[in-house]
Amino acid sequence: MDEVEFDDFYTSSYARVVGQVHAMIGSRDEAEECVQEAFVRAWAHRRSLDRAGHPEAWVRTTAYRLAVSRWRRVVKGRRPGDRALAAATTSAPPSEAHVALVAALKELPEAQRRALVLHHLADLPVHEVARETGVPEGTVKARLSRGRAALAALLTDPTTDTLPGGATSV
Amino acid sequence: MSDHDPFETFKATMSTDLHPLPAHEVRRRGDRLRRRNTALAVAGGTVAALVAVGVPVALTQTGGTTDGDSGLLATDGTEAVTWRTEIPADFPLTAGMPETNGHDGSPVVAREGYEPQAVGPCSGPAWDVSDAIDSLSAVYTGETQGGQDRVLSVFEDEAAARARVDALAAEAASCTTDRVEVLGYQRVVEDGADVVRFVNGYDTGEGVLHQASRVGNAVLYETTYFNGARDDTAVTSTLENAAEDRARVLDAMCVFAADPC
Repeated sequence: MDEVEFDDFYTSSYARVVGQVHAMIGSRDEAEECVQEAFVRAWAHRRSLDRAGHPEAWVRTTAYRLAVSRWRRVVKGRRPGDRALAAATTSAPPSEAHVALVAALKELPEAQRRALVLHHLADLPVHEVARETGVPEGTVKARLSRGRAALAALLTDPTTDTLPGGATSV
Repeated sequence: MSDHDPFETFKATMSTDLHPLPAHEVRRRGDRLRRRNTALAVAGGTVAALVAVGVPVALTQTGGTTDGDSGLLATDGTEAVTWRTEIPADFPLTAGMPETNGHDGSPVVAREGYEPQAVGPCSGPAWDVSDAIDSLSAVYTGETQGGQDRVLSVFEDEAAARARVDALAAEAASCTTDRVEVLGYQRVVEDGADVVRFVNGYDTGEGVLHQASRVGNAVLYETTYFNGARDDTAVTSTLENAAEDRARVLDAMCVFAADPC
């Protein structure tokens, strides 16, 4: 991947991957930081990226792992400053649709959430979701089925209308 | 689910108000990350070997990576280059150093000129700035003994700067005195700089890591005191910490390159 190819790849896929990782982890600012760092690593490892054959999947997986790793460090109370990242930014408030979907996804088990995002937001077929998450296709289908059912209930049940911050309206 | 697809709604509106870095900046950071990873791998392995052998090894002209960096290090002699001869006022010489001295709490600041803090490979001054056009130094003193210091020296041109680094390398390769033993040295290209480094070891087990890093017509000379000069783990750890501490300084030295940033 040369500079022009990388720049095209970065420009065309950045927003899409941020949206996908946002849906997976529930925080857009955190998603944007992790995706930015993942693209830096992608350029640093561009030769292996070429061999992998799925650069966007590589960036998405790296960003997701970074987010999980950061979350673990936050939990342990020792998250270091990340010098590779841009200055912190504050995003504009997201739309109601974003809030409702992200809040509902956060209620789901991590595996179901990731499968739903990859299939419905990243538009990956089941076999590619299976490859990216490292599980059999049957497992992906089961996660999608259960995840969709749970999500539908969360998005339509007025008694569980989840609000930003995890509060619940009644 | 409801009659509209929440994922489609999400997709249709999810790309607003993002703050991506410019693509060239992403690549620059990726290059820097790659250089640093390579440098650490080279430094760890090589110094481990140097410490085990305990004597200087053959000078290596290059190590690490030169991919994309050679323009910072040498000109081909066919182009007229105007070398920068003044250190920028905002040069971040103290970046990565402690903010205050350990022995009295005073701030660690950058000053013009240089007073050598450690002996060189032949027990003489570690670095001399008398023939430099401009110089800036910073010294950190620890709570009890030792510390860390840096001096940035700017020379008339690349040839003058390279000659100083070559002389240091030759000295480190051949000189051992009663007072101090050069445990080993290496010459590599890393983080866009031509680097000579060696460890002065003392009978007490103390050590001083010396590193001279040249970019264009400027040389950054650093010394770092540590304990465990003959301990592989201590040397490797000191190298890794020093690489992390000085990364921003090396980045800023690109203003002295033949093709400056």
